[in-house]
Amino acid sequence: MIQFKNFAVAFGERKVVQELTFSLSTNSITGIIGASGSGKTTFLRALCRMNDRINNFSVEGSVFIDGMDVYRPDTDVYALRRKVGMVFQKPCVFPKSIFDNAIFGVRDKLPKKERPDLVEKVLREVFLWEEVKDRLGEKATTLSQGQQQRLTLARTLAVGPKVLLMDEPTSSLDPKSTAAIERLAQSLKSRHTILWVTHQHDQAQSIADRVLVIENGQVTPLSTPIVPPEKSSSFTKILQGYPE
Amino acid sequence: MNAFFCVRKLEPVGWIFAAMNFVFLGCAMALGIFLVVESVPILRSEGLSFWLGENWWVGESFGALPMICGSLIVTGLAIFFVLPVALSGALFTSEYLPPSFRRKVKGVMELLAGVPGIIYGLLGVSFLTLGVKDALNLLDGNTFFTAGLLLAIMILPTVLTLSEDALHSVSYEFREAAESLGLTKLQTALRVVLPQSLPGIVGAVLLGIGRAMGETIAVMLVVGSLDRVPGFNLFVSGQTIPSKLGREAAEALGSGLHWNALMGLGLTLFLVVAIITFSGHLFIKRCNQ
Repeated sequence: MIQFKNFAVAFGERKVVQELTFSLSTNSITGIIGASGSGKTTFLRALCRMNDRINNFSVEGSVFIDGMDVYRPDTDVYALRRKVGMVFQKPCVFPKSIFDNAIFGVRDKLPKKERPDLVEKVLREVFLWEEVKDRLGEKATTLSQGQQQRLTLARTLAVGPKVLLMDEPTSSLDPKSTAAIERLAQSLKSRHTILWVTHQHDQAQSIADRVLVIENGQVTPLSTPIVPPEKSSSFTKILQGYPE
Repeated sequence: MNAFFCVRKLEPVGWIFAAMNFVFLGCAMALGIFLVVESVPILRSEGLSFWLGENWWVGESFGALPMICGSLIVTGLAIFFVLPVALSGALFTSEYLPPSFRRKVKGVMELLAGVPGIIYGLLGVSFLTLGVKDALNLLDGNTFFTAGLLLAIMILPTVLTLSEDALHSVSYEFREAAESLGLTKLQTALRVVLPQSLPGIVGAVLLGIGRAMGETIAVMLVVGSLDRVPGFNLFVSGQTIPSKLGREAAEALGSGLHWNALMGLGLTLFLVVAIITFSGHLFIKRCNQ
């Protein structure tokens, strides 16, 4: 459960999000849409405190994730980020092997003999295992963009987050990879609470249980009825022929 | 062959750039040829014992081993001292300092990197030799250890500022990706930033080695200038190739075999630096694979 109480995000004098009070239920997908520069990404990054280092960034009010007050002064930011994983717009794999990338966030905490099982588990979760199981030692940079994005998602899942923040994760991908990531989000919903930022209204409507619009600092629910995923045009057209 | 076709397709301004490139290549080749030609008489006269001989008696025998050992020891010591300091300093400057303060630190480092060797040499004579002598209770403070320490101080700004550049040039995306996984700033620096900037850091160290190997005046003032193979004792006086050249070049000019022997030393230094640089590039190539 994610709970906002009078939550506001600002850069200096400019309020990106104003006085937000609402809750997001567990194991759901929330789509966040809005025009370029409306503050979608800033809002998302604020939930795992990725904006902390920006000079004039400030927040007001509070946001609770699974009971943890994100902006309490004594909050362990690193523990928070393990609980609230983030997938960025552009896939950013480390110049290491696929195997090393998958367990990058937990390598120091995980005994060596448990690593292969975790790698297999998270790569299966993102439907990448069959494609890479024979070349886990190869550099991750040899994968396609879509595969790299799924690998970054696997890397995030390996840390064991409860919340997944996905910042336009399909914007740099081809339609086939986009469909794969959308399908992936649906499959992850049963175990994670997902916030998905996108520019595309139809994508938000097709994958999300709830769509929020950010406009002029206001966050409001989208009133248009949500189209079930199987009826979404991009989803059905592209998914046909994609391996199960 | 490909390079030939590239050159053929050049625009007029490109030809000027190409000519400038050939000037540089020409200089490098001319230097190599000059050193080889000037060294031939001593290599004919002494053979392999020029590099393996321990005695340098003008008019009798010319053994370069003490100078070769001295150069390697002094440079090795300098790198040993400089690496931990430069890497820690570069990491701190790049990853922890706020941008405005970082720029100031970089400015000071770049200023220090440009200070001529003679200034460091004077500092070495004034303070370092005496400090080493008193601290270690030696008869003479002019030792390999002192020269290595002085060289470390000399090359520190160069290695630090270039290593910092390499660290800072790692894309911010990687830092964010690592931090989003719950890695601390230090873990991010050590596991993500440092490995990715390794080729740049190796380049910085190579440049430092180059400067340390070739430094003449500062080393000449503190090394003691004694032609002997030091064994395992670093707290004795010795000689390096540049300090030998610096001391004897003026008096040996036009004196036949003595001059050729000094040119042989120059060629040896040239080859050692070339081998180290080549090895460094091989290492970088391996890292990139």
